[in-house]
Amino acid sequence: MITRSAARSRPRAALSVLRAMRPGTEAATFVVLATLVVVGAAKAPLFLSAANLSNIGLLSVTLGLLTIGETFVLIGGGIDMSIGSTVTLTAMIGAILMNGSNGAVDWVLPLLLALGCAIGLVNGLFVDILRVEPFIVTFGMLFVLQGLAQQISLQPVGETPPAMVSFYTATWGGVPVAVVLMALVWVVAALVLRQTRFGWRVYAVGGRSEVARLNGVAVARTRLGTYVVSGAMAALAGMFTLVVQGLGNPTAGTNLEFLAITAAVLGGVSLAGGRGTLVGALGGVLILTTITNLLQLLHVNSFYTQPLDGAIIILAVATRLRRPAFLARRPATSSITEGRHS
Amino acid sequence: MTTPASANTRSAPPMLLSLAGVTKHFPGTLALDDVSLACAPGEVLALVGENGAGKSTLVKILAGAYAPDAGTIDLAGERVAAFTPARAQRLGISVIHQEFNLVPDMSVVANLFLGRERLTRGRRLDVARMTEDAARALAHIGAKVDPRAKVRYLSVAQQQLVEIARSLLHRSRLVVMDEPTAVLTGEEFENLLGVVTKLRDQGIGIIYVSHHLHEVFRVADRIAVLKDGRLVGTWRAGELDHDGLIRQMIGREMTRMFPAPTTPGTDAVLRVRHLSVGAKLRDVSFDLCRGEVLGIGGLVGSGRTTLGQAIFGLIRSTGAVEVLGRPRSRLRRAIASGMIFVPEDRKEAGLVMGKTARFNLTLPNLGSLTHLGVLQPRHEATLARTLAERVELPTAGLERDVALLSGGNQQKVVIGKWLARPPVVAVLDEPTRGIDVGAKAEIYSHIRSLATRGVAVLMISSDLIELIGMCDRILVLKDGALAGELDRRAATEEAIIRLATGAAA
Repeated sequence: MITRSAARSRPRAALSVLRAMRPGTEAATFVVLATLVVVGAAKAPLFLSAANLSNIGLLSVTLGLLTIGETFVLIGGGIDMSIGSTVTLTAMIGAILMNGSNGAVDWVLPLLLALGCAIGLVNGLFVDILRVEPFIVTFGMLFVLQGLAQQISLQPVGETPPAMVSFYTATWGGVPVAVVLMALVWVVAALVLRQTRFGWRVYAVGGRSEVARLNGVAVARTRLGTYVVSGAMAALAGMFTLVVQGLGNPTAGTNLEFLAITAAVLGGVSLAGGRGTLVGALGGVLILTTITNLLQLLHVNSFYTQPLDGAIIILAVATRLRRPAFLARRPATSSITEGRHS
Repeated sequence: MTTPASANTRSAPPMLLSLAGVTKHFPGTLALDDVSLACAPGEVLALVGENGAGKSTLVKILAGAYAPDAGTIDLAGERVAAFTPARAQRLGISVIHQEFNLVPDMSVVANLFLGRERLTRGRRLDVARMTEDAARALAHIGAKVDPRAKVRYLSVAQQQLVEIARSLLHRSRLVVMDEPTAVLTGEEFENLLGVVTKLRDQGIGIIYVSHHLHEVFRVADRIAVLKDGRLVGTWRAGELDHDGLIRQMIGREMTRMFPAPTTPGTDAVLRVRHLSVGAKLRDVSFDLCRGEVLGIGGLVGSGRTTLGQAIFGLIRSTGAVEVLGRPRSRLRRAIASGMIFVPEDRKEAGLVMGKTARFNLTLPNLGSLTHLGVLQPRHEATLARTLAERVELPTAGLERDVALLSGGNQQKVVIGKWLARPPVVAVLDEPTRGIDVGAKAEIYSHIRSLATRGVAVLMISSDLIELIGMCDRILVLKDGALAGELDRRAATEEAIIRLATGAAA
């Protein structure tokens, strides 16, 4: 409360524009997105063509799935750095196991999903039972999985079955099936977060885990759940990577976790936990993919993409910085004299 | 005149809650020693005692956060074992802590039903029904709160009402309120009083923990007094008067708490002129003399803490602050010009937790302990020992993590670290918050000895007794402005309250 009024009373134009867009509003995210679309339409004639839009859609599938999982973990007060390497590992294992055979799809895909869930489960167990910082646990997991992937092969391996590859080009009424399915996953995930007990508890655990505990919420189990969701989403993203790349690439998922975190933060998800929505995070995903797409359309050297992503993550986090608790103390924390009742 | 009532209530109706022989040890202290208490349905039992008397420990035991080392807890005649927060709730005990049990970024409804969400048959959350029930519970206690609002945007009083509404929704039989008015204004207290009465009339037992005696006498049916972890006794509210209750709480004459006053100098070392901070502090001017202890009193939100922070330069302000005739400009300049600030919140701003007392004591004095920029460990150890002796900190505590020290010893470290170079002006914000009575008296004598060495002390406090006992002069703030000044002779609780509330005589 005091933070907000203090921010308002400081008449510094440049900062206040950034601040106004700050506080967890998905609106700000979509304003940015709309601006990008307008700029894109003006600068690149092909931008709004159906072909390009479905291109953006397909471009957003992998990042979109990863961001769903990352958003669960972030809102639950954790962070998952291992999703990119989960993508790599599931893609490589899938490519090797299926190796171009349509018949293997039926059992390999569930297996990959189970692998993703298992990775999430291990992350969650380490965080909760051993009480290690989520960043450290999942960062360690990143290297473990990357190491495993490199043990399997340093070169691209295996082959994606034709049935899966054709999935990339399949459309329903002109919309790529992959995009429709991802949208479906988004809707389900958003419903889970907003409309189920698990979803509410994720917010509670991330917002004030002690309060959740005192209210009888199984904090550890809830947190564990978020990592499992994240692992499962990463496995789905790994499968889609197989679809896109046609083989198992040992660098398929490199750095994707950073993009997913950037997307979530751009969408108003708090790195401190307990705040944000999947709708906002979707906006963040679309911002990132639109930027990538625009850079391609405008023939900007792809060398600039990474520095730009880096700048975006810093900006996104910087604009939602809060004042240190020490200065932003609420008047409520000081006690009162006993006098006022007489 | 004051015999414990427990002796003659044997034929009373069955108790809702009874504790027998409850004991709790912490490393180094006996927080609760053989405490037996009972609360009947529809009764308000006030639990009073000084800081450190064991009230908080008892509350935490009732909340299921701590397990007692010995003793039994019976709820409605049934023995309760293996208490956990969830179990306490299921059994119908709601504890309303000082730190609210709410998730700020969730809606009121989500908070009210956290841990007991209602589901539709399709395993979805039944938001509509929960919202309806929440609205009804809030209306029942007269809370004007939108159930869909985020808790973050509610006032503190509204948040407290949300907590109370939760205990209603969960059909609590016993509601424990831990210092419920610590965060409320006078008007909000009146409102709370009505709510408490309403709960009591519904047959809910209420344990009302407080050290504010005025409010205890207005709210309680019975009063239980804790002191140093022991139950002094339980009385019906009518059996005790204000002074009698204080005697039971303190267990000694009050005058011995405070050191004898000394005569302050007449030269003003700190001049504050037209100091303002937005709407929180308006045009405050005063002088502080060498060797004087000047108290700052006022209600919550009156600008007490803001004043201290503004003088020290922690927050931006307009107006002038002069130390020894020179303007104090920035924070670092404040320290250089001989000012120290002991913040209200030791743990957050006064000490580096996880580091030893030695480290904390020498931290602001490192400049004098280095040779060519390299710290001289021997000098550091000597200085730490000297400072520890000066504030009577047990030397055994020097190498311990300050987080493990008692509140009193922590405060000694906070004060001690500034004593290497005696400051010109010391701003102390709530110097005895959370410190037990014995250690309080020690802190008081250190503050007084600062003054006898010529330090000008500005003491901000919400404790009227402390202000009256310690200060040579008291300034009272109201709504950010100076409401008046009282010298030692004129300072009474009543006079301070009158100025702080702006009440007509």
